[in-house]
Amino acid sequence: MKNIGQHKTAVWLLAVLLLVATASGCTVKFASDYDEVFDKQLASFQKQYNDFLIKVAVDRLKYCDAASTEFYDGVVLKNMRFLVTRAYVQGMHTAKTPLPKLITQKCKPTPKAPAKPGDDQDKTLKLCPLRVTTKKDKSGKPKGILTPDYKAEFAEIWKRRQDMVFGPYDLEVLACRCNQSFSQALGDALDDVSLVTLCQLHLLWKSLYRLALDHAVASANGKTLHSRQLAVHSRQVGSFFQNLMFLEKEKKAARSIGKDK
Amino acid sequence: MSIDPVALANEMLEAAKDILAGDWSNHQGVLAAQSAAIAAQAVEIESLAAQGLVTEDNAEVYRGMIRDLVNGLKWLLVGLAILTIEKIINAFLDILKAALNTALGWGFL
Repeated sequence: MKNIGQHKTAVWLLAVLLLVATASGCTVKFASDYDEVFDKQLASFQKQYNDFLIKVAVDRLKYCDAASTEFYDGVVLKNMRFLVTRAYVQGMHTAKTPLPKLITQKCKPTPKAPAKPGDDQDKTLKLCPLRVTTKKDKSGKPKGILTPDYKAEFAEIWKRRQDMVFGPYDLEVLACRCNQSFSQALGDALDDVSLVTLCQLHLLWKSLYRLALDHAVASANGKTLHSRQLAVHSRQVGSFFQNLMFLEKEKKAARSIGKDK
Repeated sequence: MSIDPVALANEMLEAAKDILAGDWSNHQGVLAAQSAAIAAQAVEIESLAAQGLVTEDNAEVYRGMIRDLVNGLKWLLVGLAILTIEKIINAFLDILKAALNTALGWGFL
């Protein structure tokens, strides 16, 4: 009986130690060199993203495109998961360039897109939001191109809003907060809470993506989104944004208690 | 001074209870807000459907939104639960540290 008791104690102790290690967000850092696999994956991600943008033309956009998150889930999320897992295993600062910056640099959607004057590249989300730009081809036929430069597009939506539930935050702030949360999530303390933050961020991106695509569908059909549709989208964005903010606040408060001690 | 296992376990339990109660009081506001947001989204979709703006053609867009909102709430709860566990474990460690160090008379933990 004594042996069983000792065995139980050992298992319990191990479980507690594991819990402590997990809950305290222990991360192991490796001072390895530049991660080639990581870089290759980013390059592949870049190509998939560009191919998608070239493939999608405005005249093909229908509601089923707005409903489908096939590209987002299949390409963006899959790649994000790979990158996060890789970063988790390999250590966060394997590259000379910090990871979030690497991602935003590598995932520039349209390399030829002219930079707008005053555009702060660090403050612009590049992965998810899409914008329809209509250009004419050689025959004079309008040709729609989706570009992820969402600032102007969203600013227009915001101007047209009538009954936004999600009011006080402008897009600039939202984009900054997204990038900040993302940087933090992939920053020094990659732990369970950071991964939860990433999940929230994924949902936030997805909602922005859906809004941009829904808007693109309406534009392609010569319409604008109804104010109530915008309200639904805006509540969606606002909800994930609030979740992110609250989690961040709680995490900061919880961790600062630990630091004080 | 020897450690009383029952008193020690009770002290840990009380600490956990305090943390759980405190966190619940702190978190119920955001949970209420998120629940209200999901409910409001349902009402909005009903209103859009009445205006013919949600149809069988585009229903998946809105179904996806509801799914994502519920998932968002799930991840929020997961994150908050992890933080609560961290607090409880830290409190347990503090109590254990005090008890062991006092009993042994030197800085064991």
